[in-house]
Amino acid sequence: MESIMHHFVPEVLLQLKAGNIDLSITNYVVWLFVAFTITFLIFFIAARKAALVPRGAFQNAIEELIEFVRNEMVVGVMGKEGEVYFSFIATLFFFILVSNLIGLIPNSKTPTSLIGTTGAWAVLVFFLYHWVGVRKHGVWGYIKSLVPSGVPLWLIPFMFIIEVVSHFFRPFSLAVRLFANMLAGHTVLAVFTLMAVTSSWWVKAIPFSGIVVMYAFEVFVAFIQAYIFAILAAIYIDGAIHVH
Amino acid sequence: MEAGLAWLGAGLAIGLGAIGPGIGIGILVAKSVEGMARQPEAAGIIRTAMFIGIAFAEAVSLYALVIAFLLSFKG
Repeated sequence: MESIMHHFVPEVLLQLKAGNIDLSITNYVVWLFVAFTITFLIFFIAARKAALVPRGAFQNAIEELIEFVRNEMVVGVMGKEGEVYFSFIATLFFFILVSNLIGLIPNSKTPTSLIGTTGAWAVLVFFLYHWVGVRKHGVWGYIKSLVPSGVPLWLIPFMFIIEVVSHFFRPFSLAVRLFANMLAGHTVLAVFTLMAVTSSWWVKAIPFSGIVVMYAFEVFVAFIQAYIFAILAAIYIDGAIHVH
Repeated sequence: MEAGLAWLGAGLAIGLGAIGPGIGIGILVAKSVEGMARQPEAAGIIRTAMFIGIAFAEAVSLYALVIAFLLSFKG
């Protein structure tokens, strides 16, 4: 177990310290930058050749993905009002998708399998949707909107506390869901690989086919988790815009 | 002794923690497929809601997994 788990501990490549804050560049940070560069290059190239009538498979595929994010995840969830947040949701979706997929390259690291990476995004979403709510309804209006209308008067304090706690759990569950999914998937791959390496030659085929199946499943999970993270961000923003 | 108990606890944590979400996701998908079979034109909306529901149910077992990892690091 120990020999597997040490693959998931970041290695410091460049020591950087600002006072008490550790800003060291680890191998995970390098792969995060790689994911960022790939995401940027894909959309930079796609935007440079943009034409009214898209030509070629690459252009069509990118436009199809963008349309999917816009129709299903932004307008579909938040309505016309939410189109302002399209770029935020789309950035989240594509950056997380590329970060998840980049971990499937052998010898690479998954940036999203660290709680720090996903936690930063989750905290960003948390502050964004509260800011959206406060800007739309005012501070007092937003605080009042946390408790659903039509609740008996004596129940309001309890409801308020429960709602506030559930709001603070949202970034936590958002971060842990993505991080644990990625970590668990890669741990299973690592366990199968260890089995395939250490077992004798006549049973090697069984763990090896396990690796193949899990690889296919991991590609699916990478898409699903990026989708879930982005659509939950959209749902939280929608909850701040259209209060009940 | 203590490391062994920690590993036992890790196994129990993820094993017991996966029961509830497993049943939950089963019910969720069964009902969604029922809905999709009855109203194929609403399949897209039902599928979206299903994935979100699965994500919430799955998160519970992932908390158990995190505890299992913590315990197995201790061991």
